[in-house]
This record gives sequence, structure tokens and C-alpha cells, in this order.
Amino acid sequence: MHNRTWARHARLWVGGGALCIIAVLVLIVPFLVHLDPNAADPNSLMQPPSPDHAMGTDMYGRDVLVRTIYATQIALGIGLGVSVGTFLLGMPIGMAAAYIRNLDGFIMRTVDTLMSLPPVLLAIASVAVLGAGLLNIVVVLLIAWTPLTIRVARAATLALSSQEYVEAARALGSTLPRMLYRHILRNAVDSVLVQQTVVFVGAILGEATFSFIGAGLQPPAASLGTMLGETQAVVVQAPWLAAFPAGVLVAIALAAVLVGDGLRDRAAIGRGA
Amino acid sequence: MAAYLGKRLLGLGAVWLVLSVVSFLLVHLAGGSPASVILGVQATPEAIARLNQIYGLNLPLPVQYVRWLSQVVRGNLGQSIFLNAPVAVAITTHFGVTASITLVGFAVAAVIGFSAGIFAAVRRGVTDMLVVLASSGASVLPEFLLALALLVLLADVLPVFPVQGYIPLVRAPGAWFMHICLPSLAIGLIQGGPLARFVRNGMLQTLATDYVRTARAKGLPRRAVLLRHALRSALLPVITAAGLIFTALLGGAFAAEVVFNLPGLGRMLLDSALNRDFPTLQGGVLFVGTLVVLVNLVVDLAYGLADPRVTYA
Repeated sequence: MHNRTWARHARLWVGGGALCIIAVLVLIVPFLVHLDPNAADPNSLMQPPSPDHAMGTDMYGRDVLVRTIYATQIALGIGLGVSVGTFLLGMPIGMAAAYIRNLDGFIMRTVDTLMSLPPVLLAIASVAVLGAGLLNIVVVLLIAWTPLTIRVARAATLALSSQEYVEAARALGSTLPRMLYRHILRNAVDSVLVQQTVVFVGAILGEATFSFIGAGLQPPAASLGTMLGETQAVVVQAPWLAAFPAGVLVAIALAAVLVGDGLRDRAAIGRGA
Repeated sequence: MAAYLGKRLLGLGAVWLVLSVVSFLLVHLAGGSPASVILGVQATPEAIARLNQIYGLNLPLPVQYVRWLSQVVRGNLGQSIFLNAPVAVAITTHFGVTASITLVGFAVAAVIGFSAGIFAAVRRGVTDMLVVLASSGASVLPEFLLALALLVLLADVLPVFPVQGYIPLVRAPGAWFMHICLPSLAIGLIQGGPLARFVRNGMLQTLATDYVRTARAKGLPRRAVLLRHALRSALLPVITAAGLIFTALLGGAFAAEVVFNLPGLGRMLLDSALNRDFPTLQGGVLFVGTLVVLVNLVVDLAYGLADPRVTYA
């Protein structure tokens, strides 16, 4: 049993540690050395990895490592921003749906509708309305992922509000705000947090997908999606152009999945499961 | 069963109505008057006035919506601005590609999901660990990346498959298959991951029940126990997930179309969004939404058929 508990925490530590290391690296390195992701060196086009360019250069002679660093900043920023945003939107809406019966039908129908559209389709449609860029990516990811957070928050609230201790608090005359905050929110937060790691992964993969197909950030902006999209035609001759951004993308997502699994198990242990 | 169906139909009807409002509003969300959005920046006031006259764009929004909807339910989605064809025709011609990829992808996901899920639940041990690991791996891989990898490995390096283009099924089934094989494989492999997990978890639960132990104890063949007793009840959560998996496959198909340069619905809608061809975009969004609603209706029906207890209103 002891080993198993350690293994559970190990996932949390490995995943969280990897995310922290990546985040610190991509945030600190640009401070230490001045780097321009769009600086092109016409004398070294499509060079494989070398001591000068650790990840090689692309077809314009731009350094792939520098571009990957900036692209990772964007990916992490979008992942974090969208998971915090969906939490701030979804948690109160989900709790309201669970508590205010008149609102429940309307909220859940809207949630069903939003979930019936593939996020890629939303991204495509948003290009016509908002133009392609950071704004439409974030708006679409918020629209696409908030419904799931609402669902989880609502389910957790419903499950908790029928618990005996909540009824006891109600019988003791606890006010509604106090009950929602102390007894519901604090306990529902566990399962919603696990969901937010799913949102984090979804947002990072979403940004890459949208930018890759041309419905998100546009070249020459350095994003993991645009980097992969730009190099699609030459990827056979220069596999490093795709390998590094793809590797970073998968590594971040994998680390976040580990964190999510770890949090899920920790919540399960907390409930005595 | 009738009450259950009625309630689900009502719910899906409501979803569809909201969807139609959203598609209708797309052109109004873009800012500026719809006529200038459609005609572009060089539009003369006369041209704008004429378009407003033709489409009734001066009328109050609810009136416009009702007029638009009454045309839509008759199958008239308007005229595409850039494709020089009615929107309904444009959608039908492009939908064949998307439908092919999505359906073959679904078949791939089903075969992988069921076999891996059942295998993992029955064998446990290393098999189980590998399946769970592969399923986690699939969840961190975006469809376009796997599509790109398959494209590089099986179309460029080992030129087995065509790199791009599409041939309709009715014209040449063999060539059709070769063209959609890799994109379907890409999205099917990825969606097989969550499916395998659902099947595995469902099987693990039912395999531990008393009735499965009884079935085993009375000497029923292993196959019958697994498929008839265990799998059938394990199917319920899987059916519920099938709707979500379908939506994910459709989204994946859009991305895969771009990688393989296939003339599908995703490609068409992306082009119409970039060209601000709103009639096509509105029709396309509503079409895809309707499709997902219909699939969810089928899912609900299947759920009702698979579980005789589903009679609640």
C-alpha cells in the first residue's frame, strides 16, 4: 500500500515538476540572452541541429530553439489562461445550475448546444467574426471548454448538497453564501481542479490545432501550431523542424495529464476510497 | 420508452433551435452591417441598399430570423458568395470527403477500442498497463500531428499511399480507400484511446458482478460469458460516450483534411471563413450542428434499446 501511495504522488511530482521546469526555462532564458524568434540568418537555411543552433534552423534561417521557446510561452500562457478562465466562468455557473432550479434547464441546454459543435468548427467560424489570432483562439477555447467545467461543477454541487453535513449546516441556519463557499465550493473544487487539467491539455492542443490549420495564430508568429504548419512541406527533408515543436507539445500535454491523474487519485484518497 | 424518447426529442429540438439562432447571428456578430460584411469594403451604398432589399436585412432581427429559418427548413441555405453555387449543393459535394473520413475513422476507433478494451479487462497485468498507457498517449496527441506523422512515414518516406487529393467512392472504391485511409487512421487511432478506456472500465465492473460469476460457474463457454453477459451491460457507458466520440472524430476529420489537402467540409468552411462568405459558413455550421444532434438522437435510441430499464420520463 505504501508503495502505491508513493506511486500516486510520484505522478503528481513528475508531471508538476516537468511543467515547472519547462515554464521556468521558457520564461527565464529570454531574460538572460536577447533572442528574436523572427531573426533570420540567410547564411544558414534549413541547417540540422548543431552547436550553433541546438535545434537547427528553418527555411528562413530562423533558430528553431528560439522559436520553440517563444511558442512554448504562448502555449503555456493559453493553457493557463484558458484553464483559469473556464474555472472562473464554469464554477459559479455550474453551482448556480445546481442550486437555482429555474436556471438549470436553460444552462444545461446551452451547455449541450455548445458541446454539440466540434471546437475546430467554432475556431473556423470565429475567424470570420473575430479574425485569426490570439483573441479568437482564447474566445473559442473558453466557449468550447467552459461547458465541461460547468457540468463537473454542477454534478459535484448536486452530489454534495444532498450530503448529511450540508443538510446539518442548513438545519443549523447557515446562510446560503456561507454554505456555498464553506461547504460546497471547498469540496467541489477537488473534482473541478482535475477537470481543469483536462482543459489545460485541451487548450494547448487546441491552440496548436487551430494555428496549424490556419484558424489561429498566423505566421510568422512563433506558435507550436504555426511552426508545424509552416514546415509541413519540407518535413521529410528537415524532420527537426517538426520534431522539436511536436515533442514539446506532447511533453507539456503528457505532464499535465500526469498532474491530472495525480490530483484525481489524491482526491480519491481524501474521500477514503 | 415513448416518454423517454419524447423527452430526448424535445431536448434535442431545443438544442437545434439554439444552434440555428447561433448560426443566424454569425453574420451579425461580425460587426458592421451584414450587407457591408458580405459585399466587402469597396461596396457602394447602392449595392448595399439593393442587398438589404433582396435579403430583407433592414427588418428587425427576429423577423429576419424567422424568414431565414423558414427557408432553411425547406432546404434553402442561400447562395454561396465565393463558390458560385447554392450553399446546400456546396455542402453536399464537400461532405462526402468528411463523411468518408469520419465513418472509416469511427470503424477504426471501434475495432481498436473494443478489442483493446476487452483484452485489457480480461488479461489485466501487462496487457492492461499497455492499453491504459496507449490510451493516455492518444489523449495528448492532437489529430493533426498523428496525421502529419502518417503522411511523412507512409506517403513520403514509403510511398504506399497518395499524399493528397480525393476520389469519390462511387467512382473507384479502391482509390477512394487509399485516399482516405491515412486521415481516417489518424483520427480513428486517437479516438480509439478513450473508447478503449470506456470499454475496459465497463468490462472490469461487469466482470466482477455476481451474474458473470454465476454464468462462469454454470460452465458457459468463455466467449458467451464475455460477449453476452459482460460486454452487453458494459456497453451502456460506451454508447453514451459514442456521441462525444463522434463529435471529436468530426473535428479531427476537419484538421486531417487540412493536412492531407482533401476537399472536405472543414477545408470549405475554413476558406469561406477566411473569405467572409457568411451564407456558406452559416449553412455549414448549422449543417454540422444538425448532424451532431441527429447522431445524439441515434445514441439515445440505441441507449433505450440496449437498456430495457430506460423508461423514465
